[in-house]
Amino acid sequence: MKETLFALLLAIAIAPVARAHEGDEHKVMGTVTMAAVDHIMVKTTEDKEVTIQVTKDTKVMKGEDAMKTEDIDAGTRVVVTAVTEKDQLRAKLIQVGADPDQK
Amino acid sequence: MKTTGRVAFALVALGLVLALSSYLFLRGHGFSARAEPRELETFLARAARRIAIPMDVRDLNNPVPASAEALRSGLEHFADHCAMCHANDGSGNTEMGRGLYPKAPDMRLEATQSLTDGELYYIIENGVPLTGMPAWGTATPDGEAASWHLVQFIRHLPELTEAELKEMEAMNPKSAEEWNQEQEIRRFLEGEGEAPKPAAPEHNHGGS
Repeated sequence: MKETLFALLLAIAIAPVARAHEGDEHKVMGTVTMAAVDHIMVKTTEDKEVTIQVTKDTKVMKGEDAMKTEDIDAGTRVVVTAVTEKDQLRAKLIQVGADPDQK
Repeated sequence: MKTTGRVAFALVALGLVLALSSYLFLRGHGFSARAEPRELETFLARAARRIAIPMDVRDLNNPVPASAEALRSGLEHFADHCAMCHANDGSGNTEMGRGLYPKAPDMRLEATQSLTDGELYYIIENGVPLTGMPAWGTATPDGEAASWHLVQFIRHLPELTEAELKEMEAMNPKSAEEWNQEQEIRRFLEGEGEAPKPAAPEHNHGGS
């Protein structure tokens, strides 16, 4: 009983710390499942499906070349640098890997 | 004597009211470096900074002649020492810059660009108390020259090119963790290791 109470108090105490902070930067690494003008869905290397918002300020780079989000094929490896905004992820940079059929 | 007594009483009363309201304000608001300073606070702080910079330094023009070499030196120095807070483009849009009180300014804007060469130099050399800006001065001729190179680079910030930004990214200091992460990203994008299998059908959506 004491242990349960202690665990509960500890969870309450660290909850605000554990929450993602507004403006925090994250790297999302995985393969694209769907790419559109305003968002991209990525299956991460931890097997989670993550949706990231894409804005006009999002840079999409394949090596040194810029490209459009909607031109990324499903199955392509990407690394998305994203920031937390209002409990959502907003992409700052999408680094695009080689085409899926080139591997 | 009677008047002096009344003035003293009024001052003590005013002091007590100010102390009590400050106490109540602090108790009710807490604090966060993420807050924005109020306009009056910004105005007073900038006025105090201007007054505190010695007149003879304020009126200095950059003694280092403008040249590609000096600009290059400033760019390299900025990428290595300043970009962590100010960002390579001088926007202040970095994790550190956003979390400071006051936030790192957008140095491309009037508030910074309207400072004199001497004021910029003095701020670089001496820092700004009660902000995140440290004093970088080393009291050596090389250090002073480096600060003047930075002044030239700060003037160049509004015209910074994409190519210069790209170059600066490679010059930004990296921790061992960042270095490892960069290598991991490069290997992943080149196709090394197992990639997760996409669950959705393999087609694109052109719109939202």
